[in-house]
Amino acid sequence: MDQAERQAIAACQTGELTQFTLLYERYIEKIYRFVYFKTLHQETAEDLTSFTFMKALEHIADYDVARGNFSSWLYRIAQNTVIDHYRTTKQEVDIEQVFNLASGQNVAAETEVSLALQEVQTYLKSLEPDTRELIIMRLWQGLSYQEIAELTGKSEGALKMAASRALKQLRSSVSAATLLLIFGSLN
Amino acid sequence: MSETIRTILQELYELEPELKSREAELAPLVLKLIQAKPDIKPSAAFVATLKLKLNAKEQELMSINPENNNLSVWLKLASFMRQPFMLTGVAVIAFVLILVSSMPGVLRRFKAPTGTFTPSVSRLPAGSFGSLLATTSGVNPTAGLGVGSAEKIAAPVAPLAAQADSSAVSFNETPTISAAPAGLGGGDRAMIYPYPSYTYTYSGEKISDLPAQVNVFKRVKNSGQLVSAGFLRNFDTGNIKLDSFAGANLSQITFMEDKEFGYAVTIDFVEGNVNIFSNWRRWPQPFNDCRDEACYKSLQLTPENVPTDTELISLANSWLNDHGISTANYGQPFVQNEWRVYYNQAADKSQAYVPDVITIIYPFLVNGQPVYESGGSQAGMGVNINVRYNRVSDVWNLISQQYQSSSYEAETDFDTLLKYVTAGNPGYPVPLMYPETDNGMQKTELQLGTPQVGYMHYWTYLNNENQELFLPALVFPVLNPPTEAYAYLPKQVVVPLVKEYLQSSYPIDGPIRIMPASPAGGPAVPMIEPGATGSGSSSAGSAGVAEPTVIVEPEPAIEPAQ
Repeated sequence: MDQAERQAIAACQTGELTQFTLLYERYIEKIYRFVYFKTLHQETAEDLTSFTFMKALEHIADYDVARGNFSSWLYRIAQNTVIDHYRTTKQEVDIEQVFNLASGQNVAAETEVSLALQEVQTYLKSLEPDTRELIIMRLWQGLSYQEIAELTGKSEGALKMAASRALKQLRSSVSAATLLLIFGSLN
Repeated sequence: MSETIRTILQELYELEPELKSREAELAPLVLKLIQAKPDIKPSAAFVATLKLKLNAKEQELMSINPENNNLSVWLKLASFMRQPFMLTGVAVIAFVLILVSSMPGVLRRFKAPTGTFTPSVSRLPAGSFGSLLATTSGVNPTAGLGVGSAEKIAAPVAPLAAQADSSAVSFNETPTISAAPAGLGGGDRAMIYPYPSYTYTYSGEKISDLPAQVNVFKRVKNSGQLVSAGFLRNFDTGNIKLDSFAGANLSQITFMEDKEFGYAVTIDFVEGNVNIFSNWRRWPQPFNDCRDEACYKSLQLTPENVPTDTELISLANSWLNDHGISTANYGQPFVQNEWRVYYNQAADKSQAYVPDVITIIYPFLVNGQPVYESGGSQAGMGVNINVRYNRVSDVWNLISQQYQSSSYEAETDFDTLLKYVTAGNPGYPVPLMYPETDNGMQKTELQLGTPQVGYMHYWTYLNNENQELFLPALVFPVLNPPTEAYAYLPKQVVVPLVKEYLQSSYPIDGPIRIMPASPAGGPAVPMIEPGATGSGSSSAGSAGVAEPTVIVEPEPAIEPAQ
């Protein structure tokens, strides 16, 4: 948390809520992505993201810096919002949609590398849901292990161990030819 | 290997050091996992709409907690100034500036309360700023202090009907060049034929769910520092009883550094701003001795003399930092480089103009959002750098940032808002640059992208006072800005959301015109001699004394008796 963020939070907590805009601009994309990966539906993600920020704005006076990063606090609100949403709607999420989307929107230009990426995604799908979510939060959403720990209630050590196991699993699963392609594309 | 990948791997090595031997395989795997991330982003329309809703919610919450309202820090400053030791200090200054050596100490004591330049907002009831149709002066009073609103300086805004009429007439005139006021760059009449014709088309996302009420902000100024009669008695001119001017307000203080490359600093208590200009008497005037064109040409700068934008911004940042001027409450600074457009398009480079002074804008942020002039340029604090000497020459629009806010009814229909931009009809309240006609003009279609939320800098005149307002607005990026030499290259089109403004049958100020540029090769920016905008105090000074001199200017002005 840098100085500008600390100042904005402090200002908000003294009633200068206009400073919340800075926090919004910093986190809107991250929170939206976080929610989207849990809902896989644009309109739902927008609704829940809106609700998350409104709730954060209303309760920012309750945020205690001693109890964790602001980002963790915000992610926790988002997570609870998503949980509440599913409790209410009892919907199921099809994780396949994420990967279909990925293969359509974010592949490398070269066909060979594109194929390699699809293979990686295929193996990513094969991971246990908890592990896959961990990889998504760490690698795709850029959350720190501390933030993930605060969100999931697991220890940082356990999370790192799970990530390590997942990478080893992926390394052994992805074909040598794919790794060669991937490795070659780095040069 | 990127820092991100290195960090991720390092975290794993801490737990399982043996993994390090597999780094050659792991690193590309992690990289590709990251690259496989779906490109999920919220739509710009959603981001803008949610921001508006949050802004409204912020104001609502702040109105519920009125203890959050802040008094004008300028009023606190005024209170501070009333303290006896300050009056004594200022009186000493005024006493014919004899005790010049005491000035630095006085300046150190002249300390505004913390927060003067830190944004704060106090909430007022709805409609507190009166009708937004209150006749405007059409001129941004602060813009005259530097380069900021060329459009407004050069061409005070006429009612729409007049604008439309004159535009229509202009299209049918024979080619000519309308003269712009000397040195003021482009006004609407300062355009070379043929006029271009622009139309806008919108290619962004549709925005829905716009709020019915938006908060208009007003910058809180001050009525000046009340000066006691006892204070005025200290000004003994010998032939006038200054203390007979009861209740006079101290409106400005100007002090000057009397040294080479010194500055003149003016603190304006009424407008709530500080402006710093080069003390021109102590700056070199390289063209003073020129008697022929060859001399001028020999001194003309070339583009190679102009530092890069990064260097200019670094120089400005360093100077501001040295003088304790925080830029924390401003947006990312940028260099105004319009001169390069004209230079690059000039066939004869020897005739092209390279300015001695380059301006850097530190954008204003109101409620955390950028502020735009009605013509689309970004408003902010300006820092001029004299590139001949690589020195900061002026700082202007360093303003107090105490605001009041009040809600006004907003236009909620996005399609209606778009019509103000895309209809191309001079009958609309918002002038659309030059409407399309069939007289064979060059026609250009400009594409507008999804808007962001911002504010439009706007002035009304109410109760004998200029009100400096900030209207919530949708700011549409121009995706293909015109590159013609005579276009002023707006990057944005600003459409205020306030209904009263939009629906006015007597429009005030056109928010979305493309401003024509100066015809004569110079950039369309006002080149006002900084000394000319000051208080006339630049003649004061104490040659040879490298200490600041101070002039105290009470208001009303006191003229020597004849």
